Amino acid sequence: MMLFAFSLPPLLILAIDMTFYGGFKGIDTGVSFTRFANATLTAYTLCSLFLLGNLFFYGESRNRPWAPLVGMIMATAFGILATIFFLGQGSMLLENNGSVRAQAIYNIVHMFVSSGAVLLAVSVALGVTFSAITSQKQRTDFELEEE
Amino acid sequence: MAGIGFVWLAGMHWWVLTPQLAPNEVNPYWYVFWPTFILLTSCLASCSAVTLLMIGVERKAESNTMFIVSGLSFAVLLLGLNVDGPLVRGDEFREHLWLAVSDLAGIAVGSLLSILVFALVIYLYERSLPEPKTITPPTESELKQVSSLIASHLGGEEE
Repeated sequence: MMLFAFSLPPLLILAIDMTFYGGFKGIDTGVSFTRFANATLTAYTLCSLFLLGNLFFYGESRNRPWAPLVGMIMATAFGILATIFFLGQGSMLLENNGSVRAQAIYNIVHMFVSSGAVLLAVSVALGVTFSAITSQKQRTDFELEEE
Repeated sequence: MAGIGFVWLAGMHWWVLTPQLAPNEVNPYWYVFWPTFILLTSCLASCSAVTLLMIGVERKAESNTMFIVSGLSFAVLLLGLNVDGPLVRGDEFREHLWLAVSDLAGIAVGSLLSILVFALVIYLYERSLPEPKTITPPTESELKQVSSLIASHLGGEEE
C-alpha cells in the first residue's frame, strides 16, 4: 500500500497522458534506458566507494582484516570497469557526449545534482511530516476524572 | 519557509529566475534537479500520508496535511507539463520528467546492488572465520566447590 502510494504520482501522470493524448507522450524508451543504465552504473560505483570507506570502521572491531577490504575494492573496481566497458560500446550509453571520459564525468556531476534533489525532497517530506506531528495539540493519555 | 522556497523554485520555472548558462540557454542541470525534486516530493509526501494513516494512531489531520503537500507538488508538476515558462517549454519538461523517473529508478537499483554486494562481502568474510574456542564443561568436583562457595555467601546466621 505504501509502495503504491509512493508510485501514485507518476502513475497518475501516465493515466492522464493516456486519457488525453491516447498514449505515452514524451517517453523515448531508448533515451530513458540510456539514462537508467548510466544512473545504475554510476550509483553502484559511487555507493560502493562510500561503503568501502565504511569498511574501515568495520575493521576496527576485527583487527583490520584485509579480506573484506580486498573484496569490496574488487566490487568497486568491477563497477568502474563495467562503466568504462559499456560506455565504450559505441553510442549505446553516450548521451550527447563525444567520449567515454566526457560521459563518465557528466554521469558523476549528474549524480551529484540528482542526489541533491533527492536529499532536498527527503528533507522537505520528513520536515513537513514531523512539523505536522509536533504542531498538533498535546495529547493526554488519560481522561481527567470528573469530580 | 518551505512555502517561500517552493514559490522561489516555481519562479525559476515560470518567471525570470531560470538558471541560464548564456542568455536564453537554460542550465541543463536545472532540467535534472527540478523534475526530480518536485516528483520525489510528491511521491514521498503521498507515501508519508498513507504511512501516517496505516501506522499512526489518530493521525488523520497530519495525514491530510501530507496529502495537501503531495497534491500541491503534483499540481506544480501538472502545471509544468502544460504551462510553458519564458524559457522552459512544457514538452521539454515532460521529456525531462520521464528522464528523472529513469534516473530515480537507476539510482535505487544501483544503490541496492552495491548494498547487496557489501552485505555479501561481510557475510562471506564472517562465515570464513573459525568457530570461537569453547571451554570444557565444569567437572563434578568444580561444581561441588562452586555450590559450597555460593552456599557460604547466602543466608547467614541470625544474630
